[in-house]
Amino acid sequence: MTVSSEIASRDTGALDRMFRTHYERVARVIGRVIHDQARAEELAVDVFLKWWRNPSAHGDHAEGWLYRTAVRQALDELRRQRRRERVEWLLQYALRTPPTPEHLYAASEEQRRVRDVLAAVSHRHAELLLLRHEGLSYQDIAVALDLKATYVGSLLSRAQDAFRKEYVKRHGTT
Amino acid sequence: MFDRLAVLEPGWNPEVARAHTVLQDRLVSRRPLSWIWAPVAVVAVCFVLAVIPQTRAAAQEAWARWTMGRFDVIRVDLSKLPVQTHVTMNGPLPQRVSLEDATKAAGFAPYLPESGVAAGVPELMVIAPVTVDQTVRVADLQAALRSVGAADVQVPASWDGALLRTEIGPMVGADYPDGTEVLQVRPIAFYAPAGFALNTFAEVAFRAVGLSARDARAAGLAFAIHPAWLLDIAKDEPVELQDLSLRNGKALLIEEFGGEPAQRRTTILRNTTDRMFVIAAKTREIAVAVAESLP
Repeated sequence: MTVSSEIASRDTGALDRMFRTHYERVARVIGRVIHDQARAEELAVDVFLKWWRNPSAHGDHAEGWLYRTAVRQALDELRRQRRRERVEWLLQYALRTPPTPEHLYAASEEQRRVRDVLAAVSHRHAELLLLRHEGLSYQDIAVALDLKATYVGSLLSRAQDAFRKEYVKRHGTT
Repeated sequence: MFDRLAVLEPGWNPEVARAHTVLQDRLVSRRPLSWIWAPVAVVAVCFVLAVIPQTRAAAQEAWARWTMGRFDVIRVDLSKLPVQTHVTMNGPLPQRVSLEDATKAAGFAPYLPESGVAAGVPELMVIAPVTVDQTVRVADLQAALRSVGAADVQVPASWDGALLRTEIGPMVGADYPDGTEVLQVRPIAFYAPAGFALNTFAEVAFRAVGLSARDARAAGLAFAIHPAWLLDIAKDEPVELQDLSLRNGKALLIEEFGGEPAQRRTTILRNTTDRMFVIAAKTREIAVAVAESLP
């Protein structure tokens, strides 16, 4: 049996339940990092597919796994976008077009700055900041990132410091 | 600090029903294409968004042709250049192909690094030829010149509606599992109306994006003598440019030094008589090794 047919034959009830319970929040977590709604929602769907295809992610820690994966997907995408921008300048001289509403939205300077900083600090720091900002408790963050709950506070503090330093380095103000 | 993150709050609500349909559809779907093909998406999007120029292009029968045989870097923001652009992709969207199919589709055999220089087996893709038509608008050019304090620069009225055409590709990309990418294209054809003063136009265009009169004159002349596919990198971008002498010739190295070290990339631009290469890798050592293993 191929992987595809195996998946197709499995009961998708658990996937449906997880999706209906967590999709909106997962999409919004990603949406903080990826401004484009369509892409953010596409990545959010990917998170659920990954969860579905990864039996070890099921069980008690499924929720934490989902949010951790959502943040990682988003950060990976953000970094891909930054790399992509470097390749896009190969064509950009030739491909100037009037800005679309999407481009105008993306051009929000402060959003751009914050995303640049998130792309530049370490993955772990960005994950901590995004999950905390999403409202996850220290305990939830500990589960999501496989940390000891007692360490989360100090790790968050370091993440905030790293964010501040990178922000100042790049943009010269706090 | 969390105030800063608050600006990222999405201004939209997730479309759950639509996403659920996508989820069902994708239960058996394949993984998406690699990032290196983003330029193709840009082309496709631009094609949709392009403003179709109502110009005298149709009547423009006599062309002068130049060959863009090199990449070059310029430290200004070329996005300020006021031209209308219409992009046409002349072929299918790219798909992963074998070396044999890539050769057939591109019309040339792609050069690849020697075995072992870049880790793993590359995924090859061919980007179909792209035609880029750019229309000069005198009023827009004059406005751009005024905005940079160069209102004294003369823009001949005869330039209005002049069409500049660039024919790019096909391009072949090789995407390696270790993050190394090699993009290659044959020299690019560039057309302008017969008798069009390319050096003067280039000089005015460079003034319009902020170069000084002296720098614009030098850059305009260099472009007219030896047209280049210009890559603009803003002055404040944390990159270092360096001319390289490789075992097999000269190249330009672009090294990033901002952000987290693990995220930095090194890019090498190399031009040969029949190929223009962009090589990107995680380290300078890998990029140089790959560049030196190509003809």
